[in-house]
Amino acid sequence: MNVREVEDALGKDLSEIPKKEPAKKKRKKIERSRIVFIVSMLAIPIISWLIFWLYGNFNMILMAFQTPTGEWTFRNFVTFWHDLTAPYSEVGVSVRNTFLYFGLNVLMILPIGTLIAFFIYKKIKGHKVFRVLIFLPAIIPTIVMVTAFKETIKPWGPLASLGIKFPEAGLLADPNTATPTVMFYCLWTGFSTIMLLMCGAMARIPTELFEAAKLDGCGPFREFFSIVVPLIMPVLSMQIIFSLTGLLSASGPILLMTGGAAETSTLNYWIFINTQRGTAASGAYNIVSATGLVFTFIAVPIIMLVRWLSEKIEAVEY
Amino acid sequence: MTKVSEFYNKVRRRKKGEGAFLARRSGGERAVFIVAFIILAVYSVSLLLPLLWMLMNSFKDGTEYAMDVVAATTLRFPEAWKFSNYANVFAEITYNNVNFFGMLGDSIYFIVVGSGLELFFTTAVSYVISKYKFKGRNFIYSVAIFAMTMPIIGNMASGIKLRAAFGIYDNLLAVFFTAGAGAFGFNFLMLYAFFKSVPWSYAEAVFIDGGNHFTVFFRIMLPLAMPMITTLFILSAIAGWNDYTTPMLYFPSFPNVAMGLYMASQTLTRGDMSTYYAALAITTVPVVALFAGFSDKIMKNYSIGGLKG
Repeated sequence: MNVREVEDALGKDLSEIPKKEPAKKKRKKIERSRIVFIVSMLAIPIISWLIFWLYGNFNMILMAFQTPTGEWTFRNFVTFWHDLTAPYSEVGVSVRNTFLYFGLNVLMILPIGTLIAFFIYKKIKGHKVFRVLIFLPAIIPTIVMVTAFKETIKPWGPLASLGIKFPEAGLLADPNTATPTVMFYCLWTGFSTIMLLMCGAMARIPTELFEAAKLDGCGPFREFFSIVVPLIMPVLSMQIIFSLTGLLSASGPILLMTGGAAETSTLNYWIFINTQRGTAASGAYNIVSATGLVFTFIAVPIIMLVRWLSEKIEAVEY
Repeated sequence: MTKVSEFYNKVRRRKKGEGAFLARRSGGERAVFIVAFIILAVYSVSLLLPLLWMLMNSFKDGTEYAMDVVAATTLRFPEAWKFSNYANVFAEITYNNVNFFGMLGDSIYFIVVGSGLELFFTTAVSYVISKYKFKGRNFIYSVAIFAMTMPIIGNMASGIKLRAAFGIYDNLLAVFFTAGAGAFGFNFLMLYAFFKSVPWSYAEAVFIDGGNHFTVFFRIMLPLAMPMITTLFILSAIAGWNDYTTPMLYFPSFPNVAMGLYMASQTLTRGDMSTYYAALAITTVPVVALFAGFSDKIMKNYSIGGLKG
């Protein structure tokens, strides 16, 4: 935009500057209006943030140490510990599953997603179509994707019509198969954003590197492991952090899949469902807050450590 | 003859380009790419087929689908295409006395008012913090970044209690109070970076003309940022359309489409399923339409958005 366009936008001619006010007085006036402007732009968001973010989180700490009627107590933490260590404990299962999903993200989805991105970046035949199709799970509502998946593996679903046998009760009802099935769903729909992210990172690698490698007779495997992976390492390590915070702050498809039945609960899902179904009077809110507080205290140092480590890995300049 | 030599030259020129050199694949390499192509193709088709199966069954009569279930023959076209399923969605899919129209209304309200306000506040905050020097500016910026990266677990109960204390729990007006708190999210970083790159001389031109800071923001900066704001809005619209946890926690009487469909699905019989599939198909249309219209912008932003923060 140049001065002419600004003039058009204002409907005025900037060359006809009004010369009525002396410059000094005008400057003062602008300074005063500057403060008014800053305050009026920031006031509502900051007040709202102070109440709903800062006090909301501070209040969680208070609630963890309170009974439903507001007396101070450590009882919530005792209850939490009992819940965690009891045999067949739902909290214990949730913690185990959360680790399983983290492993799935880091060991399967991240590497496979990066490999998919590599082939799309290398302009494999039909890469534009693949890019859109693989991205679809990020766009299509989870309830639609999950329903489609659940129906597909039902004893009467499309796969069954093709002759594949599924247990009558369904894979999601049996604790032995339920979590692996949900994990398979997460894998099946999990590459969309990783793929895009990695494509973006690879696009920034100078093509000279690939040319030089090719002249030296380097194949796609060497290219991938010796050029691409080291150069996108910062993005990869960032993704490990994101997958951890993502797991802790979102419950994924658990509610739609099983409602937490058949030992499929995760930590965030456990907290979500106990908050959603609990009431303030029952003390559920306080136990949920105590549980959340404990895991926040475990998660924050881990995230800090991973972040510190990823900063230690020297960022490659290119 | 000239045509042939022209063609030959064209090919030679293209081969000289760097893209051609990289695109040329040796035998072994070609084999790897063929295998990868087959895997990607199978995978992509596997993503589509269940959706198409559901779409096909959404046109079946309720009893026909129920009988297909018993016989495990759901993988076939309807005997009679029952388009009325799509009309029935609006009357038959209900939760808590809210019908599908009501759910659509709630979805649109949360997106337009909720996400819209939040984005407006985000724009205002990121503009002021990137363009104005004042006491506490760096502090606000650091606190915003810190808050963004903190994985806080289990604050939902506290959120409900706080909203109840203000009388805005399960109240549509709540979005007016809480939207400001969302102004310090990841969108803040995107818009902050954008406004950093806009030269201040535009503002000075307005001041010379007698305009004030509000004029600069609303008449110059906001229109300049509009393409980016539009993209961010579409992204949050898609996220809001698909989000069922927020209404379940804070607005239980106001189910949006995602929440309402999940709740309604809990009480469905086999005979209702084809209408339910129709409802799912209707729910998919708006996001796919948005995606089709803005796919380049959406995909670009997803790939940048992940990097920041």
